[in-house]
Amino acid sequence: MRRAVSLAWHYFRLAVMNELQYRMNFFIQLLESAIALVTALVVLALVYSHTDTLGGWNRYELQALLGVYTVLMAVIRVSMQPNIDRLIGDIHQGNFDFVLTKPMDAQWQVSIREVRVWQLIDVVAGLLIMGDAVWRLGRQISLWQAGLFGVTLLLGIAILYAVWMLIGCIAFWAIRIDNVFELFDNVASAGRLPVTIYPGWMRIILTYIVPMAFAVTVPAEVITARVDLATVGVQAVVALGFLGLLRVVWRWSLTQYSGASA
Amino acid sequence: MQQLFSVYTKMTTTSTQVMLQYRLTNLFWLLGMVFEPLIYLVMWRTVASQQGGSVAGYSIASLTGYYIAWTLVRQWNIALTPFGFEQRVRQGQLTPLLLRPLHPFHYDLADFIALRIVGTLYWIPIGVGLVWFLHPQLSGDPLVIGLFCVSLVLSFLMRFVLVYALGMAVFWTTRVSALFNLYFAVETILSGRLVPQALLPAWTQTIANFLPFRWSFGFPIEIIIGKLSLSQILTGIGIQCAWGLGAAVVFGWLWRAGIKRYSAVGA
Repeated sequence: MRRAVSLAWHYFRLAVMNELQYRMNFFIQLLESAIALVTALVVLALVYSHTDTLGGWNRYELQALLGVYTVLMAVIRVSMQPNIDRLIGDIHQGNFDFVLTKPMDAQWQVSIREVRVWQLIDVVAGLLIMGDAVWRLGRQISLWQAGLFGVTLLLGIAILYAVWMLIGCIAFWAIRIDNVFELFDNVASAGRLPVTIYPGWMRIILTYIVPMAFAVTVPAEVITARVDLATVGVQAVVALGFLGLLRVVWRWSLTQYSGASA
Repeated sequence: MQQLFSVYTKMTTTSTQVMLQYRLTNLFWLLGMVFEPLIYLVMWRTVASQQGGSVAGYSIASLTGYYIAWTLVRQWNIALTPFGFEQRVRQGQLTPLLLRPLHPFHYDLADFIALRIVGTLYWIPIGVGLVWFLHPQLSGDPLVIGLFCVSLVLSFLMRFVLVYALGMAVFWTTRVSALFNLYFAVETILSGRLVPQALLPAWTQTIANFLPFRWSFGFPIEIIIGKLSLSQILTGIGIQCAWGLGAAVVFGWLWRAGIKRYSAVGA
C-alpha cells in the first residue's frame, strides 16, 4: 500500500518537473480556462435573464453546480483521459507488456502514469466559481456540510474514474474507440444542469450508464443544502459498485491481451 | 474548369466510400452530436414552460424545431479546423500536399463534401425520428424548404473558407490554440448554436448581424422554422455569399503570403 502511494507520488513529481519546462503553456492554459469559464457564466446569465429559477434551482445554486461540474471534468482531463489514451496506445503497440511485467498491480499502474499538471487550473477555477456562488447565496456552510461535500466529490471522482476506465477496457477488443469517448463526453456535458430537469429516458441514461446524477448533482446538492444522508449513502454504494464492476471487467480484459509484440 | 469538376467528383466518391466503411464509428459520432442540442432544448423548454409557454417569441414547438434543425446544420458546419492545419504545418505534412497538381484546398473541400454526404445519410433516420417523437414546428412550404437547402450548402461553403483562412495564422506562429479557442467561444454564443439569436440581449443581436457567425448557423435554422420573411431570407443568402467570397479573397492573399514563410518541417 505504501509502495503504491509512493509510486503515484513519483509519477506526479516527474510530470510536474516535465511540465515546468514549458512555462508558456501555463499562460496559454490560463487563457483557455478563462475563455471556457466566461462562456459558461455568460450562458448562465443569459438563461437567468429570462427566468428566475430553472427546475427549482436559482442562479447561484446553478452556478455552484457548474463549479462542481467544472472541477470533475477537469479531473478527467488532468488524469483519467491522458492515462486511458496512453493505455490504449500501449495495448495497440504491445507496450502494455512492460506494465504487466512490473511488480505492481497493473490497474493501479495504468491509472497513475500520466498527469497533465497545467489542467489543474480548471480545478481551481471550478472551486472558485463554486465558492463565489456559495458566498453570494449567503448561507452558512457548517464544517459538517463542507466535510460531506468533500466526501461526495471524491465519490463522484471515483464513479467517473470507473466509468471512463470501463470504456477504456473496450480497447482490449476493438481498435477505434475515440468516438466512444466523444459520445460519452457529450453525454457527460449534460451534467451542467441538475439531472432532475431532464425527461425520463435521459435521466435513466444519466443515472445508470453515465452516472452524472451521482457524480455531479449529488455534491452540488450537498453544497446547496438540498440533500439527505440517504442519497449520499446511495452515491457511496453506486461508487463501490462501479469500482467493483471495473475490477471484474479489468481482470477479464487482461485475459484477452495477447501482446502485439509477442 | 471541367477538369476541376471531375477531380471533385472522383475525390468525393472515393472519400465517401472510405467513410462508409466505419459504420459503428459514424453512428457513435452522430449520437454524440445529437445529444448536445438535447441539453440546450431541455434547458430552454424548461424556461419557456416556466414563462407560460414561450420565451422571446419562441414557443416550445418552435424551440423543438430549432434544435432539430440544429442537428442537420451542425453537420454542415464541420470544417477543417485550424487545429488540423496547425498539425500539418508543425509536422511538415503540408509538404507532400504542395506537390500535388491542385491547390490543397480543393482536396480538403472535396473530402469534407464527402463527409457531409455520409453525415446527411446517417442523419436522415435520426432526424425523422426526432420529428416524429418531438412534434416540432417546421415550415412545410416547398419554397422555404428549397431556400433552406440553398442556405445550408452556402453556410457550409462560407464557414469552410472562413475557418480555412483562419488556419493560415499557423504560418506565422504555431502557438495559436488560444486564439482559435477564443474564436470558437465567440462563435458558440453569437452563431445561435447555444441559444436562438432572439434570446440574446438586443445589442448582442445587432453585433451578431455584422459578424459572420450567425449567417453560417442560426440563419438556415430560422428559415426552416418559419421565422423569416422571403425578403429576409434572400437578403441573408446574399450576406452568406458576400462573406464566403470575401473570405475567399482574404484566404488567397494570406495563403500566398504565408506559403513563402513555410519552411517544411521534416523535409
